[in-house]
Amino acid sequence: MREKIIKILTELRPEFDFTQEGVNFIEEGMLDSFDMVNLVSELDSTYGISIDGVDILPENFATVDAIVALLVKNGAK
Amino acid sequence: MAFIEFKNVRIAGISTGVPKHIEYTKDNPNISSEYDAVDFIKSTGVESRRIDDRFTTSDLCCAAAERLIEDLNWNKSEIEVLIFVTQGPDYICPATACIIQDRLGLSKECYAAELPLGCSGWVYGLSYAASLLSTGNVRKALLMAGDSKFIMPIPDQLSSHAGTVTALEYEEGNDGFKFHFGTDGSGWDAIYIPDGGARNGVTPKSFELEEINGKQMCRLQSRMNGMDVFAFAISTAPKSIKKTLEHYGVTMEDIDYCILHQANLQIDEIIRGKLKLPPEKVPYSLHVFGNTSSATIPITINTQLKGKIENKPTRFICCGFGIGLSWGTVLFNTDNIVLSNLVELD
Repeated sequence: MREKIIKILTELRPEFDFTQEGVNFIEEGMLDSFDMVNLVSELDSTYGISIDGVDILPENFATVDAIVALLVKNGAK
Repeated sequence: MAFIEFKNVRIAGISTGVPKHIEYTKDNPNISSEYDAVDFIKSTGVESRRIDDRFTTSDLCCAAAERLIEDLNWNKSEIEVLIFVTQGPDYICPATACIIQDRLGLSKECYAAELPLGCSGWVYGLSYAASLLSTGNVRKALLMAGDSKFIMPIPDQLSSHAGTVTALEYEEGNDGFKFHFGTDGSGWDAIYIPDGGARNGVTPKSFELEEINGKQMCRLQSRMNGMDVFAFAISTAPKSIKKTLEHYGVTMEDIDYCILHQANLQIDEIIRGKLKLPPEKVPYSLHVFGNTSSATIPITINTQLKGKIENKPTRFICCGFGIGLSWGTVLFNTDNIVLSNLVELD
């Protein structure tokens, strides 16, 4: 799952390295709200889920681990 | 639960006025420092917009109204209700609805009022008009909805200019409109213009540029917390639509078209996915008209369903959601609806 998420993130913003540990994607400006819309859309279709609006919080997109947790919470296998 | 129903009223017709000038997204070199036009179009769906600061919303609405009144063969003296929905009035005061009554040559025996809502505005305006008509005391109404230029240009590539007119009339026995409304004012500053109102008037500071979300903006321009608006949209709109269907005992299979506020293609597609709706039931107009605020629902019906529904009983569910934060969903049927040709102002 991690590799697939990194691939999606890199396709969205190829200028950034999403494999770095300890980097907060939101605080570092690597993802903005425009990216978030595209990311949620891509995650929904890739994993066949429907991420709940209440989960659209910056902290849930701050790291790959946070995104994994978000996907699992929303039913991704 | 704000479920409200008004019977004995129908939509007779819809018209749209837009500037003739078309701005193509692919030709705009200043979309963003991070995105090119191809990515922007893929994400937002907006391929072109109608922009011309020579026209106010009332200009666009009045031109559309003249066309629709002619197409419906209505006598102006019969129109007793005028509701104008906009966030861009001609003047701070008086209400532009009063000016429009005179400009269109409507009877002085006319109820004219204004509603300063944005993306949810058409649904709210529809409830105003429907509530008055359902009494049978008044028989014909014009609901105008749209936005164009503001006190200062909106520095985004999504917003577009349009003025729509929805003609409504009393009809005994018609099933009318079934609404669901909601408001969360705690999100009032998710989209707002800081200065220019009574809270913060216009001062020299209002024109000073500051960086907001990577853009240089002054305090008379609309700013948005994109993440908050996105979260609100994808959680609230599907819930309101589902609640409306459930409350009124209607299933999605009974619906011919679900018209969503044209916020942004990806946001609307996420909402469509949550509702498990096939693409053919969810038409879009934002590819050619962008996000036109309170005009998006009627402009979509007018321009995307013209030639398809006029003489066929058609059941709609429409949801407007956005600035406020405010939302409204409505269920209604149309039959023998007049959809005017697009009115282009040059």
